[in-house]
Amino acid sequence: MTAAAACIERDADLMLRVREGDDVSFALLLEKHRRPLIHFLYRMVQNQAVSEELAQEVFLRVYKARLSYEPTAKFTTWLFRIASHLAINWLRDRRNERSQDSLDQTNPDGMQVQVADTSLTREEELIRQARLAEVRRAIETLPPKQRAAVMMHKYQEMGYAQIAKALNCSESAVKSLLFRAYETLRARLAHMV
Amino acid sequence: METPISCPAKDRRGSELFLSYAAGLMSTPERATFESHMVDCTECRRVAEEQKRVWSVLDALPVPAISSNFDERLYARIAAEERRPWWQSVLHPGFSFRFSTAAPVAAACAALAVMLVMRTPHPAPAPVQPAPATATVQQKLDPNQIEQNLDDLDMLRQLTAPASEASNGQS
Ligand SMILES: [Zn+2]
Repeated sequence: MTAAAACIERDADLMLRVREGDDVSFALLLEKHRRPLIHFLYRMVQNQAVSEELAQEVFLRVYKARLSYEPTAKFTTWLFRIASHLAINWLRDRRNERSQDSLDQTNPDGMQVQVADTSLTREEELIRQARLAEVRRAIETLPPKQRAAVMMHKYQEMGYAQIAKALNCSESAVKSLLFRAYETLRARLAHMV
Repeated sequence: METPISCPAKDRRGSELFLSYAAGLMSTPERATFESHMVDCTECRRVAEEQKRVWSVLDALPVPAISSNFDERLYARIAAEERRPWWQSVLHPGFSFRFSTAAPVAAACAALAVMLVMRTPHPAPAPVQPAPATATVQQKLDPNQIEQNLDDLDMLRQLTAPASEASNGQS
């Protein structure tokens, strides 16, 4: 058995134990997936408090669905399916709310100001912060589903098939989402070295 | 050298190549073929270079540290949402909601819940039924919860079915 297959089986096995009432197994699943899930959500919504809130919602839903859980699909895909769904909805709701209020996109309310890199001079640090803000603005221009596809592709290193399942669309649709998203990002970010 | 591939920059389907190239996911022969094409194709060189830069810019994007009380908050929330009558947990500890890793928090929440229940005018609890063998399945869920659980499980079940080609990538 490959390491990846063993890992998949382990997640499903843990979830089946959760179904049987073993909360330690839930703690193990949480320990394993907490960081990647929160980071994915943070990159989606660019707001720490919201990303943690949404991550809590994802784990809560997983826990509440435990009694009917069947290991029919990869656990991670299910996790990211719920997470994408929640994040995309949050972004769409927010976009509607903020359609007239998009001036301060570099530091949305609640977003943590990045910790300064102490190895840099003050000027270098200002430049760094400006660059980060530019990258965030570029990401914010991506429609929610494109953004989700890029984040799963770039940071979770998920393949087209898995992203397709997480976003409930075809693989060709995922390729199209990624093509358009990276085209936008190249246009906005390629000048940065 | 003759370029053995059609120009990916002129074909939308070729965009995959730029992604694989930037991510370092190409096999050695694939990369050699692509690089030999780029020797003569300025457009592909430009796109590949830009994609690589985007890749490294995204690599440099930091993420904040996760709140130290994330798990505590989650467990408290789960405990609150389980809405298990408190006397059931007391009388049937074997079926009680328990998290060893969050025991102090859960205990605090339970104590708080008990205090609130005792301080709040409350209808007398129904007589406690003996827990059946399948007690773990006995859940008190309101209709909204049931509906949401079904939605989440639908997401799981749909994962086993092939994604519909009708689904498009519209965002
Ligand atoms: Zn070319």
